[in-house]
Amino acid sequence: MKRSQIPLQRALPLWALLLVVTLMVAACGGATPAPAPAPTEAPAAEAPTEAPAAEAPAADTSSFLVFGNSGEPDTVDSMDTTTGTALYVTQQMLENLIDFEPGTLELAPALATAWEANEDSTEWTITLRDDVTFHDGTPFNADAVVFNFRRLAEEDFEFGFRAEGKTYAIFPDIFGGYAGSPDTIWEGVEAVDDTTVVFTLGQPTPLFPNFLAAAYFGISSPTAVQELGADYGTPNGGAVGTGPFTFLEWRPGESISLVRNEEYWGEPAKMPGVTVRFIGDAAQRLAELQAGAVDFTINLAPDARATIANDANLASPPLEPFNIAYLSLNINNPPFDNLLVRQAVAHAIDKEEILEGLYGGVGDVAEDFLPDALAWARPTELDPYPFDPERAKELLTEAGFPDGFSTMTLPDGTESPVILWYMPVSRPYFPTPQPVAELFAAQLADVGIQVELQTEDWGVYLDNWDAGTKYGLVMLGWTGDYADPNNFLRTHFGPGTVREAGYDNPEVFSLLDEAGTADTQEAAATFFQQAGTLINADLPRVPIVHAPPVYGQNAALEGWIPSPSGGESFANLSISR
Amino acid sequence: MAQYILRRLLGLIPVLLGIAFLVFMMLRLIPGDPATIMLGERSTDEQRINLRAQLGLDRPLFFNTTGEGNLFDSQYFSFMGRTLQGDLGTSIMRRTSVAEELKTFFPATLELTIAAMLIATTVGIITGVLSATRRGSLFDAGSMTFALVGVSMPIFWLGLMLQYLFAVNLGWLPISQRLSPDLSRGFQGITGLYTIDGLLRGRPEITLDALHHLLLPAVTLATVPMAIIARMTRSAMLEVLGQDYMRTARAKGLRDQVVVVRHALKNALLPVVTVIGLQLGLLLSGAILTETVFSWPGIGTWILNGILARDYPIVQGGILFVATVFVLVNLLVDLSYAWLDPRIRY
Amino acid sequence: MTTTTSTAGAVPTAPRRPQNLWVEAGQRLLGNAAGRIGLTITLALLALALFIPIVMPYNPATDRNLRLRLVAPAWTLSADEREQRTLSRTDIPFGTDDLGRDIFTRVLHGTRISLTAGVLAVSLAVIVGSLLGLVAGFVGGWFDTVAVWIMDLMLAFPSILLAIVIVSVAGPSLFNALLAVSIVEIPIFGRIARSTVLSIREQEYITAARAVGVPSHSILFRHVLPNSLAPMMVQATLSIATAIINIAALGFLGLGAQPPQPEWGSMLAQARNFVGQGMWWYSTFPGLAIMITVLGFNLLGDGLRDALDPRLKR
Repeated sequence: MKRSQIPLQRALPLWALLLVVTLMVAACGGATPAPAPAPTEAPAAEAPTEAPAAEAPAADTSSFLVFGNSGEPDTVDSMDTTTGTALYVTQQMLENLIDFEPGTLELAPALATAWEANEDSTEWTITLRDDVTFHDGTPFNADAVVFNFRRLAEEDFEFGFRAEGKTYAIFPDIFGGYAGSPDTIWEGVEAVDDTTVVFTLGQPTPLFPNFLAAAYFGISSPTAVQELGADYGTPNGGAVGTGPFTFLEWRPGESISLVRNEEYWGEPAKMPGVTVRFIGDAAQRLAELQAGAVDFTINLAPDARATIANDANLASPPLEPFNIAYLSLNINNPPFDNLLVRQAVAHAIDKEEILEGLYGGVGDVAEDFLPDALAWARPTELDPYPFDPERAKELLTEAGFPDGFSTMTLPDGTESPVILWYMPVSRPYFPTPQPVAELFAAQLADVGIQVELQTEDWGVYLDNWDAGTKYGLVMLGWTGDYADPNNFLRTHFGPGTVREAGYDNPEVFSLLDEAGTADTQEAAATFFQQAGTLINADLPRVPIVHAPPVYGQNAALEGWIPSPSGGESFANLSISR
Repeated sequence: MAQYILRRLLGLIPVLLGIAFLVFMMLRLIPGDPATIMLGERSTDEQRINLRAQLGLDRPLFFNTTGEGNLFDSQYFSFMGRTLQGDLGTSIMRRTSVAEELKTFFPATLELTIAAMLIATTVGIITGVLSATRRGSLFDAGSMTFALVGVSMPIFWLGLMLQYLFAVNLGWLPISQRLSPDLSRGFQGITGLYTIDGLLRGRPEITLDALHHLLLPAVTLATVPMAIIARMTRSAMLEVLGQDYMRTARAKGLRDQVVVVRHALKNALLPVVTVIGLQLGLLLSGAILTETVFSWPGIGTWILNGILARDYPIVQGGILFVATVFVLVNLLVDLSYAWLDPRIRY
Repeated sequence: MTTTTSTAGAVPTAPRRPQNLWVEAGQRLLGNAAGRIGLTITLALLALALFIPIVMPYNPATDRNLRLRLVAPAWTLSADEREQRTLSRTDIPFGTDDLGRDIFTRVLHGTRISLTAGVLAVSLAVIVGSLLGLVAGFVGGWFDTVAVWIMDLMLAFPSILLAIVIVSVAGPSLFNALLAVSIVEIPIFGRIARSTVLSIREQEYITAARAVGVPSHSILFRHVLPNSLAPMMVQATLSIATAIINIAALGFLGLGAQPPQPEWGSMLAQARNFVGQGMWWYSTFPGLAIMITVLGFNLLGDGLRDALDPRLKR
């Protein structure tokens, strides 16, 4: 009997011990509560907690819009990111000088009221609104614009905070390099008076206003950028712009909340605020939409269309595709150096089957890299590669592979199985990369080309692609930023892309350059068309489809007109519950 | 005993140092560098080199043998130096301090794990006791079959199915995350455990909402340990119930419940506690998978995302922290045996 | 599960009559319900894995039928629906996936992948772990210290986290997942082997063998190794169950087998996209397959534990 007394008595201290560990661990986790809270976060966050508790509890906040974003932003400083998940948030707080008309790629005035070029489009004079203030009360003016673009362009700018990790990686991408670099077209920006700025460029740039409309170039409050320093754009700092919503809080791993800017210069937002939830998984976004836990969301799987169509509470806003999904063939890997083999691959792929089966039939089979919106720059007489397995086999026989092949030669001379790389992540152009890859493999196997499917982390995938070490067939794609054919063509067939998969045609490079600096669209079209014909004949990458991303919304939501380039203001959206 | 504890604590030092080294090394072995991942689809060499320099990734890994500056001016030694001072560095991705991120993400995992452990021990022990006292009954057969299945459950699948059934199909419970946005907006926690914070802040609706969100993931995570505890309790109880002194107790005319709870359960508890201790460690593994299924913003999803983004400071700090908690919990469990079982001597 | 108990004490420590001992153990295994069911399940799965390529040849690389995408199991469809798709009641018993492939065929073929991967991973862990443990225990000194330190290190990580990091280093593939899962299991076997060595190193027959000049390696393999066999076998069987779950978990996270291989975990990863859309069959059957396989090995492990060494029963 005596022994029976021991365990329970002793078990109590054990539980106490476990509790102590738990608390200790909790304390570890929260070890630095006192010194850590960021100066800006505390007051902002306190107001809504205390206020509703005193007055009508949560009456106001429950009417916030809830947006299901496809991931967590890396930053809310629009100039310091390249990811769409971030730009969806920044566009609510930060505004561009020039914007797009809703649902199109037509330019529309925003913080700028007018823009005008000199004769050869090397100097652009932009007239600004004079009635705008930032969320922090400081005025928006020409100096603020100059500050923003200098922080972006000049590597030694005092308030760039590059040493703290800001990169502004998008700038060299669009302008060729930071200020002073030999490849850049950027010369400078100057404030002429309070409402006029002049941008100077090193070569004719007729499409400059389109650049300014890209979501990256949202204007931030110079005061906030200076004061918050490296914290600007992070969960501790948020963003301060002129937009219809102001930053409330960023709960890492969960959501970002924004409240209506009551002092907005334009028509104020219809809803009191918006909460952007981070939901990385497409199926989960759909489920949350079905459950009513989000009001609208983006980048669903194509199969979601059927689900949405069958649910009276849901709707899907129509979208024009402004992207390209393609399959790249690495020319450095024999037999893909052989044009006949590349043509055989193109003929072996049944794009229709892919579009019907895995995109729900919505979108267009792609014969060209340019989407419909840029059809004016497409070659008028294209010699396409229709699905024709017999022709593919003939071409393979002609190329010396009557029974097909299953190996390729790496640059170091070794043989390897033919690899088809598929993306580990869902992108609007390939929303479901894995089954598409499986379908590619099956179609290629039908004509005798045996491939192995492989993937790797998205970052490594891109890394190896840029370094030119992705051998074999590679699935990739692109969503356009603005209405410029070179945003599609130069990005894939320009001199900067030679290393990626070995395509090197100087004739194409110079045609694309000439098209970029041509003064009229007609002149540009001729160059683009010539380049397009050459590209189609060389066939370094097989265009697959132009397919619109799948968006979903609650049927009660009104006013959502998604932009083809991805991301738009939510100010006009409203929902009645 | 005190000497034993001291020896064990000292023994942790080389293990923790080893973990720090291992994590640092493994991360550097992972192909792909954070600069490219941050810069995305469109970066140039120049940009990547600049960014690497900004992030200090161009410095030597271990020893600075360039002849310029200190021999120890390297990534490893500055990482170790900062870590020893309690500074886990700054996230590459979001540029917030790792310690601060840990403060937001760890309580989520802790809350999930505690809830799971509570469910597993209560349900497990009760089921085990009832099964043992009704040995051979339908209840016994049924619950032990369930337990057997539970032990073999791939919990990522279970989570998926529960989510489908209760959240998507029936709509009774939320699908993912920890709080409804309407309630979480502007809510500042104290401990980071929302169920407790709701009460501390005088907002019971937050506690309710948090419990609502917690239920599915916690049940998912609890399944395997619950099954193991139920089986263990049953067999320990059976062993005890067969002992002579139990018969004596009954012969003395004590009521069944008294016998079971007062005498049998007490004696059966030691092996059960052993098993509970073992499960605590395993829960952390399970938590990573459960968090993925339910988008639970805990330390598991945080570290996974860190690995994907090659956010070295997050992964280093996160794994080091998890491993430290892990070895400390194991140590405490070991120590508690010594406390519980007088036969163990050190 | 817990039927046999008290004849336990009779098992001798040193393997004196090996033949009889194993027969006895086999009988005990079959005499116990858990062991019987476990053995039946695992043998059935083994037979399935061995013969499926002959009975039901399958080439995942060319398999597709987009006209039959995401169709529910035929037995759940109405006669009209079946007619529309020209299916009979017994067709596609598990439904089809998003490429219109028969999930039944894929699940059956997945057995081969999971069993092979699980058994290989554990075999590797047993070999490396027991060598490490045996040598560490036998040699002692600094080697032992370092070996124990390394094992402690590895046990200080939650196993799935360590496996994830290893696969991230090596790149996602079935082989790397297998390797990662194997590495995670090494210290478990290392510890068992080492503790066996420590417990019998000083026993009389070992001292005697040394005294008559039997070389160390011979002692190690003739006397020490056989003694650790029973606990090793029990642990190995249970570890196969864990390994199969972990490999599937890696597949689920997209870090395991590559498509179009019908690996259960990666099938679940794909199926996850359709769970919310009422396509219950896609995720149900691969998951059940994992569970049954794991259950089989767990039961067999329990049975083996009771049969081989009753002292191991806690």
